[in-house]
Amino acid sequence: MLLAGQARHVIIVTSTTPLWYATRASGITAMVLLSASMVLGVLTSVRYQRPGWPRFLTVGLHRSVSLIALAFTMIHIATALADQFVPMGVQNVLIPFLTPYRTLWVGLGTIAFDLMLALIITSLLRARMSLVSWRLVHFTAYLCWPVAILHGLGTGSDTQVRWVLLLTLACVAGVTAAVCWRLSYGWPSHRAARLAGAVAVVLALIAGGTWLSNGPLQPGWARKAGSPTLVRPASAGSRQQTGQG
Amino acid sequence: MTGRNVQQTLRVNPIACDSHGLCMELLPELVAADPWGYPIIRPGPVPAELLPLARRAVTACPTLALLLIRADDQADPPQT
Repeated sequence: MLLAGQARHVIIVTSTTPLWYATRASGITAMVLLSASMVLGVLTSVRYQRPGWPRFLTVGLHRSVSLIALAFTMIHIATALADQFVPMGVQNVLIPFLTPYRTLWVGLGTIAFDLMLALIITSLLRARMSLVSWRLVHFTAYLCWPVAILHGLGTGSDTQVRWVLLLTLACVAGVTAAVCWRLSYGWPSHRAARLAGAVAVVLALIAGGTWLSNGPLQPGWARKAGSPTLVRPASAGSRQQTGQG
Repeated sequence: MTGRNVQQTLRVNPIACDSHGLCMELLPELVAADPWGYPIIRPGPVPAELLPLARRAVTACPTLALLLIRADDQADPPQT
């Protein structure tokens, strides 16, 4: 998202309050937990089982890890709301693309959170709804997770930090491996759907990698991504002015 | 079944069951596997002390094929 006219300004303000650090840390934690939840969910569907790893363990962990991921996502959102480095109101928690700060990339996080809520609410009510509709909603996990990763890479203040980048790539590798396992193992009667899934995975990886190396990993991404030049007056004393946001 | 407290019994919906096997992991007291990995339920009402585990097995079933129903609702013939 390029906001016209912003490229002229040079100064980009970044917040250094504890709340803002908590936002970033809980975001990274939620990413790891969401990825673990994705892997566990796929392991459930391919019926992973070992002598020391019964199936109810996969299912139970999938459920628990998802709920913990939701908790960290809520911390992520609540601290961002409280910090107000990214100016946003309660309506921005559920309605995407309304924040002036990195509109597109923050909005993707909102979409991922909406999907996550839908996934978790339908799963908690699973016994009270039809299996078909639950599964349809649950398939949006394959949309929720990549959107959340894009949100993290696109708006993450720490994308260029080496260990954060490596952690993100490890999450992507783990989920990709699990999905490939499912595509090669599950759904023997849906050859076309599996092939389409495999093609989608390859295209997404190519597109994502190209975007990552040409976008967030290039200098000046913060400005390009839509960091307003002065989010709020840097008078609090605890702010530093850098090119990174 | 003459008592006032409602007794419950487990049923498998054989159409929905996909032999994920969680029920026999969580409730081996009442659920055994047939040679193809599909569940065989021990007939009769669920003992009170096993009811929490039975409920857990019901909610854990990935295809919602395991049902806990009132024992006196079981008018149709026993499952195969």
